Amino acid sequence: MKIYKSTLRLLSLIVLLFSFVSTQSIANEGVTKDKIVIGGIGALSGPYYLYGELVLNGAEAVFKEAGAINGRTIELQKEDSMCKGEGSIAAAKKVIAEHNPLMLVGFGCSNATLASQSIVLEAGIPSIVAGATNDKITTPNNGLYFRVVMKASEEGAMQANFVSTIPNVKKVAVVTQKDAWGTAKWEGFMSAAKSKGLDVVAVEEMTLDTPDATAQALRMKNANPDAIVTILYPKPTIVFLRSAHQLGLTKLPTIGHTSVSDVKDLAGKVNLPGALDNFYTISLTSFTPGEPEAAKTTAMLKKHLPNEELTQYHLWGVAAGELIVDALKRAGKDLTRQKMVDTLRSTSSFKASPYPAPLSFSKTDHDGYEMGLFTKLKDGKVVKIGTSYK
Amino acid sequence: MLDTSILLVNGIAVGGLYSLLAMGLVIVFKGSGIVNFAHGALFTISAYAAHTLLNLGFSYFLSILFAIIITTLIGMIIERTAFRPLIKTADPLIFKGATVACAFIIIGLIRWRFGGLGDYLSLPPLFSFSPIIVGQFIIPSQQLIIIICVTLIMFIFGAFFTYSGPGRLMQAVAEDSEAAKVVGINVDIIFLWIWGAGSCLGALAGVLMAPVTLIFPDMGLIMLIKAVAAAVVGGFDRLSGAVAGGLLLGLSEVCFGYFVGTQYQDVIGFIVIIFILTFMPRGLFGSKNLSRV
Repeated sequence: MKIYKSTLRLLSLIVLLFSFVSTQSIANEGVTKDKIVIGGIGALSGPYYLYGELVLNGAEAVFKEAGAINGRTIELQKEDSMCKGEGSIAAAKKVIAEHNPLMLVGFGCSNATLASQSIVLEAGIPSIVAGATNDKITTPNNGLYFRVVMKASEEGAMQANFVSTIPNVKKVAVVTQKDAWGTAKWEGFMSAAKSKGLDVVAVEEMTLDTPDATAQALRMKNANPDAIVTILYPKPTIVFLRSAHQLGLTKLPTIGHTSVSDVKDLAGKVNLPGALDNFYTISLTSFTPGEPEAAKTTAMLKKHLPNEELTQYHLWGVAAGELIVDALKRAGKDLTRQKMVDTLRSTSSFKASPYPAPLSFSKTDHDGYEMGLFTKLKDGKVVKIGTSYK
Repeated sequence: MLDTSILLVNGIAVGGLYSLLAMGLVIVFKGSGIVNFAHGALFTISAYAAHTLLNLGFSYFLSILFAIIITTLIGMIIERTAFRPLIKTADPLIFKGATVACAFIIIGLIRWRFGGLGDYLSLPPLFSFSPIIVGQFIIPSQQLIIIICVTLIMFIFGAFFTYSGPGRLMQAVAEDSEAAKVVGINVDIIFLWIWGAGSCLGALAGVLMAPVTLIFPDMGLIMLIKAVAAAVVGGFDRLSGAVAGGLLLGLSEVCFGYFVGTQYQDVIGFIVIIFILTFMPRGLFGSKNLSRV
């Protein structure tokens, strides 16, 4: 009986202790005396880890470089969404339940980001989207999601605007993915193409797993376009460009977008000389890895994550990280989630180091970045087409 | 005419690869009575092995050769570890479960080892020369290589099973393993060879496919589905059926995508399967002994 009573007392103590810790943790919203917990959600494994792991690593390097902010260091807790809906839901639930973070960062895939959005919104956690582009993530404004990359419809419109500036180009063929990610870009493109008077002569589809794009390339060739627009993930882009090159279609101006912004990497994977001679793509950043302007960022990444090689995707994370650090500094010592939301909304003309244009948010507009520039590969080097583009 | 030639060449090349994979499935099915769901993972291993060896400085041919050998050995290890210990249960469901488990273990290991190297890895083409133009026909180089290699492999495997001693032993065990045991054939070893032969075909498909598409951990999954589709269409117990099924599937995908619409390209294979199974439940060439489980 004595042992039973002692055990009961001990159990009660443990339960009390856990309740106390739990209550403290919830009350603190991911903030302790010397630490700020930020959750990172993105693909840490699988073929789309570029939009997750690399983006989060970019942000992590910035957090480490920032050191203590108002006496607290940032701790990034990453969870793997695998770029899948079910993975994103599991990652969001886990990171919220285990770490109760002040805010979230990452979200590299639109389909996955939309899948976990209701969980994040229910938990009331402000989130910085550093990779996913689907309009629905921030439109209509849900009050908590802030985006530091261009939204899909604007990117699609930017492709159309660029095509309309190419001399003698009137007829355009489009090859697209018809999922949440691709449809939003496609709709943006079609709307802008119409207003610019472009004639869309072919719209072909591919999926992530289409092994051969001969049918798509042949149908496009028969439509006789003046330019081609691709709205595809990197893998189908590569499969398409290989088939298109076979049929001589790569002699036409071909316009890509941010998912294939690392044009040097793309050229290596397409692995066919001349296939990217007329390929233009959107870059969100004002410099590319390897350029002299990237030296400072490269050094910072190497200092904190020695095994990392700087890529375009790290730069998106760097922009997100710099925005978070700035907001934390401005929010002061008494941090709450609502205070972070208010601070982020008051961000005006914030210059993230990789971007050519500033980031601005407001109460009604949580899409902070609407600019980018076009780049292409020339003699093995990435060259910019103009300074910035909308 | 130009369009037709390109569609035919690409359809035959893609279909030829489906055929190779389907042949590997059929060989193992005929020999051991189970569908090897780890077959797609073996296809993936060969592509990654070739890429790794190439990066280690091996020549292209040696990389491919060693990749095929490594994959064949892994297939044989799967037979010894996942198939052999379970043979006493004689429950097809348990065998299937074991091969599915092997597939996920292999893919998981690949993801763990190669996850940080890049989203998609690229294997350079075996030969890179300009498309061959014969009159109105245009034949892209990589597709031509695939067609030649697939044709050669099919003939070599056909001759091996028909004329060589080990090949005939495998045929004997595949037809009736109990009878083969009675006449003194070491069935255990022959099972191992059968799994080796099946894995070798998967490996060959992997190294031929890799330069056309790209290398990524899940590449075998979609290919496995296509190979199963090809084997089902052709008849799961006929090598010739696997070849016909693969070619039919490849040509259907490319031609349907072109003539009907590219949005239907990825579903046509499955429409063909349902159509054939509705009217010919054993596939185009399946024997009467074939039962569905």
